[in-house]
Amino acid sequence: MLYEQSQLAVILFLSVVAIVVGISIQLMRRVTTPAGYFTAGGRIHWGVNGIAFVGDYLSAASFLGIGGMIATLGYDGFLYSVGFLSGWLVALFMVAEPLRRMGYFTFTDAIDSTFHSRGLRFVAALCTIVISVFYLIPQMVGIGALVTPLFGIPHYLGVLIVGVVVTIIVATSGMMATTYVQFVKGILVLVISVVLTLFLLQRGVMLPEQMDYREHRDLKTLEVQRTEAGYSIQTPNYALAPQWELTPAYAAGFVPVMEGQEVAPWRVEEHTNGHLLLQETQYIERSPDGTTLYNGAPPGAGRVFLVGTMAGIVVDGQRVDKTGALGPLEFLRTIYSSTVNIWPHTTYITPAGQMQVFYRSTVSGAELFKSGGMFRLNEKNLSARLDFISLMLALVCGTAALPHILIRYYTVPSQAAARKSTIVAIGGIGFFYLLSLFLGFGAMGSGFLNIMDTNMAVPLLARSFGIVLFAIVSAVAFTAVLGTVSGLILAASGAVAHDIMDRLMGIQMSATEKVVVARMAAVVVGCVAVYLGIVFEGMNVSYLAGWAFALAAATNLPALLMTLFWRGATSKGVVASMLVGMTAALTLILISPEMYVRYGLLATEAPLPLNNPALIALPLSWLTLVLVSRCTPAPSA
Amino acid sequence: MRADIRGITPELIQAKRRIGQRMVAVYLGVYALFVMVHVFFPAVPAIPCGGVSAGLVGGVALMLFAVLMALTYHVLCTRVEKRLTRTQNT
Repeated sequence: MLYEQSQLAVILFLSVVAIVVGISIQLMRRVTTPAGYFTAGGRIHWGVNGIAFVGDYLSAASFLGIGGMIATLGYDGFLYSVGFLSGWLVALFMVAEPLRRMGYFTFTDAIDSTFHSRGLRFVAALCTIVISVFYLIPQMVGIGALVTPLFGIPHYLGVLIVGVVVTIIVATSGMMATTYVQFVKGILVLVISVVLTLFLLQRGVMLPEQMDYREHRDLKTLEVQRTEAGYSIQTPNYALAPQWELTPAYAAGFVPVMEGQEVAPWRVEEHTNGHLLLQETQYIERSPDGTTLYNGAPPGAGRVFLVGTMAGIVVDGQRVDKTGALGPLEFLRTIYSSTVNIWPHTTYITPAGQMQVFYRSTVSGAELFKSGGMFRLNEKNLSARLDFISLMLALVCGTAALPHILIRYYTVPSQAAARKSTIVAIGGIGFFYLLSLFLGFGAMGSGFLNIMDTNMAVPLLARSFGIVLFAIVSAVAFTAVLGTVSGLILAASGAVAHDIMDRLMGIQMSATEKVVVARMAAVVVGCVAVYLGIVFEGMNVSYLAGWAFALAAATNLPALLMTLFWRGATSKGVVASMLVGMTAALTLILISPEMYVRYGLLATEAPLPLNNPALIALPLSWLTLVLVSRCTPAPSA
Repeated sequence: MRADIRGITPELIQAKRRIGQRMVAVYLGVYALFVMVHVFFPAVPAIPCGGVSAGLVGGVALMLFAVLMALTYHVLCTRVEKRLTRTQNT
């Protein structure tokens, strides 16, 4: 069985929810002013804020996504974490202190502190909402991926339950509860990652036959022989689909095989002299009517089987079946010198819809320590190079532009505190990414990898050590999402209640009314987040976060930096740059090859072979700001 | 909430801004080098190094460098703050 519902996991999970919601409701009575709601009064200690930054930032994208990417792609997943961490230095050196000096509650406050323009307030607030909602997508997808197998409920229900819980937390006590949740989460994420890494190093690496903690199942193979009557399969119950040689499957390297009434693609492993050897695959079928089948059945049917095994282990030139305990460097070196079973995938279109087929392939470990799993840089392909540069640009520029990170700068009392808390964050986040290197490579050979849902790699790795650790890691992953989603909903509610209704529209509200409006805005944003989490089910969350980073970078970064550092910036220039950046980034994402696959089409049909929009949208936004500023009058002193 | 800005002079702001700009230039330069090596010399990160790949060693080194730069920035800023901050009493 793919997932066992663990009663312990469910109990732990519900306990976490109860504790967090309980704290929020207790704090609700203390939060009566806008300052209290949005910035916790501005008196949070820099050490607490630093760990809260860790908890705010290490969302599903990091805790689930990076490990999942490294587990399936190797080195290219690691490059994501290098990019993510690097963005913090831009935030530290350029944004942390100046922003703290200029602000009240929100990013819009900082931008508008020079210009005092209604148009700018509106656009900045709108952009905050869009970016926050966009970044909410990977969080809600991640939580759906986690909660679904845990409770045995459909993805949409998992997303709905979590959406409701988080909205309650934010709507009740805003930044106070959010800070505590993020602080606790930051500690939990770091501690559990250390624990999991230690368990992993203690177990070492082993061949699948040695894994006494799981059921081993060899992949099925079939032989196809050519006789006078034509090709046929000798194994009973299996038959070649009619006209199989003319199908899109065969053109893609697979043979459609019938087992009873069902047809499944089998990978052609060998094809010599009228004899084919076929190997079992796993596949996702997306029909135009919206249904998705996994190995020919709906998601809950349990047809998906876990993979993630070593093909051969070599230590110091000797082949072994298992290594025993390893040090950190030895662990990585062992994977490097061994052979690993990975599961690449191919996509093709059939009359029934889109087929994404995952097949096993054995590679040397060294292949997984260099680029190639996702970024085809070796092929000297121009679009692959541009896409890679675009992604690395988005990641390094995105952190300093994320609204939910920026608002956290207002919770500390001074600029020096803002600086110190950022440095604590960099240390914590850097440490986590180093650990996730081990978690990812460990999941690769743990025997508990779900190749069709890479977001589950780290929780399933924990599962390979037993139900208790799985339960704990799931609960921590849940708090990981909780912390970030709280921050995002808070940022968006701040944009609506404070930036738009209070400062822009000038609606007269008492302090209490402002807090009520902020709470209502939080509820609305929560509902939107739930909807999007359902629509984007299955997509790797780090990938989605890469998009959110590009959107934030293109929209906010030129506006923020130029407002802080260039006297020639005008409000019209800033408005134009934000609108251009946002429109360009969103448009490019919607026509990207990856989205085309989501639409049920082929990646090659996309008009532009660029998956990440930063390379085009960010310079465009910057240029717009400079040109429009030059053509419009300067702000009065 | 308004920041506690006692003792913060324009001179101090300028000094820290300069430090920040120089450090971001250094870090982004190294980061850009890391990215461009991958784009134009993809064989280099694949070179075996210390039992793993040069790319992995380089990536980890870059992350450690980031932490080091953050700490250096703090030391430089603290020094400049001590030198330039006027307290309310002076």
